[in-house]
Amino acid sequence: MYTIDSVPGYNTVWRGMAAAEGLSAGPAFVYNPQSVVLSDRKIGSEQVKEEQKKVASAMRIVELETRKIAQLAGQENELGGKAAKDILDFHREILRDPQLIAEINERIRTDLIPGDRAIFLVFRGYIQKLEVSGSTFFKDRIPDIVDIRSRIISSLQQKEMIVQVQENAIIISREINPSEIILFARRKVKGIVAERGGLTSHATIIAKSMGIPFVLEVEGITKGIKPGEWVVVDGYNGVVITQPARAFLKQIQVRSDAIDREKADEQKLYAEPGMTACGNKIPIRVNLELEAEIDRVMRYQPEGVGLLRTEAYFLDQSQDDTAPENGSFAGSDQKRFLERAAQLAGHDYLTVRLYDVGGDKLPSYADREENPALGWRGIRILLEKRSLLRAQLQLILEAVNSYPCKLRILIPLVTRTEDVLEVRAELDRLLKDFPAQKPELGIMVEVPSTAIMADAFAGIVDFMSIGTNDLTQYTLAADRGNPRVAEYFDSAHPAIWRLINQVVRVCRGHNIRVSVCGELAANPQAACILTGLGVSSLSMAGPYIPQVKKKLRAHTLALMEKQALSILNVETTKDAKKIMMQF
Amino acid sequence: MIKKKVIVINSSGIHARPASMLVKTAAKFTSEFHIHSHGYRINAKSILGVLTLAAECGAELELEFSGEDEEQACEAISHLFEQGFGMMDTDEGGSS
Repeated sequence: MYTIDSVPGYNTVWRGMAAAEGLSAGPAFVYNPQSVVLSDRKIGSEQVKEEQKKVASAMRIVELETRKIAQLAGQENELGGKAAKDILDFHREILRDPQLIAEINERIRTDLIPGDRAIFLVFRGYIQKLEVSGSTFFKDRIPDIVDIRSRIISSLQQKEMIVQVQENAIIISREINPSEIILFARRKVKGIVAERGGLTSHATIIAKSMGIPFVLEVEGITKGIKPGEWVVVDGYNGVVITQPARAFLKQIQVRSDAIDREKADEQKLYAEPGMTACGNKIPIRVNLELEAEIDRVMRYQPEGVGLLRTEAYFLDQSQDDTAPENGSFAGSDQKRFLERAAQLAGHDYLTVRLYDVGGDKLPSYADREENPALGWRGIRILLEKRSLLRAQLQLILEAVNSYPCKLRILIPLVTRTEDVLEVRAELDRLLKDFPAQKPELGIMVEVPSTAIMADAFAGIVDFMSIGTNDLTQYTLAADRGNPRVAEYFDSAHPAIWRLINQVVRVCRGHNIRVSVCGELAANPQAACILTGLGVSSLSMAGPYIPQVKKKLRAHTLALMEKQALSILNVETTKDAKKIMMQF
Repeated sequence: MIKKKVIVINSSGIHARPASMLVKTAAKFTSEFHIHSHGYRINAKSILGVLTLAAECGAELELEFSGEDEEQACEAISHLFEQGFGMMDTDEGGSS
């Protein structure tokens, strides 16, 4: 694809291992990670609660980021994908370890030290125990634990480790961790070269999913290059070329432009709207959970934002209603997330779901619930903690105020019409201060009673969104997290199709829009059936968008309608799946 | 309170994946759950605690449950050990 002429003093070739495809040239940034700097101040006893809250919030964000990476890893078909997902699931368990959190909180309280130092010390205790455990397998987990620790601490310190990196740089580093690749990707770097792998498999998965050329195991490269010097990275062949001659650079530029054009052709489909083979449009929007996702999903060009989850930025103000305002830690993060999502939505819809958290997220609510899925969560908490509801509505209205997107506000876990009327009243009161805004108010249809009573809701909401995951769990009485009943949890069950159909019929009768935002929408065959049933739009995680678009464009609406009609008559999940497989 | 002795039978011991399964299962029960090994007693709802046991294949552990659902918890956890944490066969798993 190119030839490397031998020119004395130029075109030095380094061989390594190809980890993520791509070809690019740019100035080198020799990355030399500093050790974590911990604050060594003491805190006052009145600051203990605040520090503990910051720790909890940092751990939650890192946990959610890890979950996202695990999802990406799970989609990898290669052998490494499954193994990487296992390790990432293990990371998530650490981030949710109740003993770990309790020890950190205790350390803050008794030693009066800030959260970052408490995290460092508690982790150190565990690392030391593993070091003396004698077994290599357990010692091998130490780098994972160290990586998690620094991710929590840097999230806590809200420190952009990598602020000095200029766009278009090629990163040259001794080793590299997954979290660092995410940060580099945000700086739009053009390539990464590392002497060692670090947590190889994850780093590779992330670099691939971000489309950053990545070459590993290039012995001695950090010593062989000066910062700012030009370098070529070939992630197809695992080659790095330093001191490139001018003619060679030009050749690489031409080749890399050609590759970009090929890719752009492929991506043209992304830019096309979602529609059937016969030209019926069905908008395909994206589900968002974290700000860090936005850069990654942009390339799929979603038509709008069909579901923005705010739980990761949950801001508890229930302890006392006067304390933190919008300027506080999680509030400003949520606002920035909403602003960036509003940009992504353009002139289309930005659908924001109010906090869908359970009582366990509120420190004031210590009692364990027997059955949290049927307990105090979603709108039930928001209606009881009015200040929380008002603060979030206010924050949403402020964040999107200067953007042209159409705002939709989505209420979680609605079971009664009063739930909607109460939120509507709060919203109307706040809207006096935002005369230009006319947000739509809608409900999540995720409880069977709400689906059955859809006609009662149709008169008081502006739109509906069907959450198929919870709808399945509640309708089939099968906990989706419980492996013992995994075979009972299946969104293709005939009852789910019939409930969805019932909701869609009502919405069409009342001329309001109804979308589907659960995992069912991301399944290309199911997406065809949903379209046939008459759903107005679909929303899914970014990486699923291309496959769904492709499938919808391959079939006519007439066929989808026909299959949708037959799926309403089947009596077993197996038969329903047979019909789906015809797409 | 219930106590029960179990033996780790899966070849690679209680490494990352079995440890994740163990704490995930334990979290479903309200009972307290501890593991005794070589004179240590660790909180088995803590993955870092479980990992520091460094329990390899053949290790004998004593499980201790106490709480309202201790019997169910004991049954579910023992089942995991007996099955070698599902590592004995190749499971393809469903889509998550």
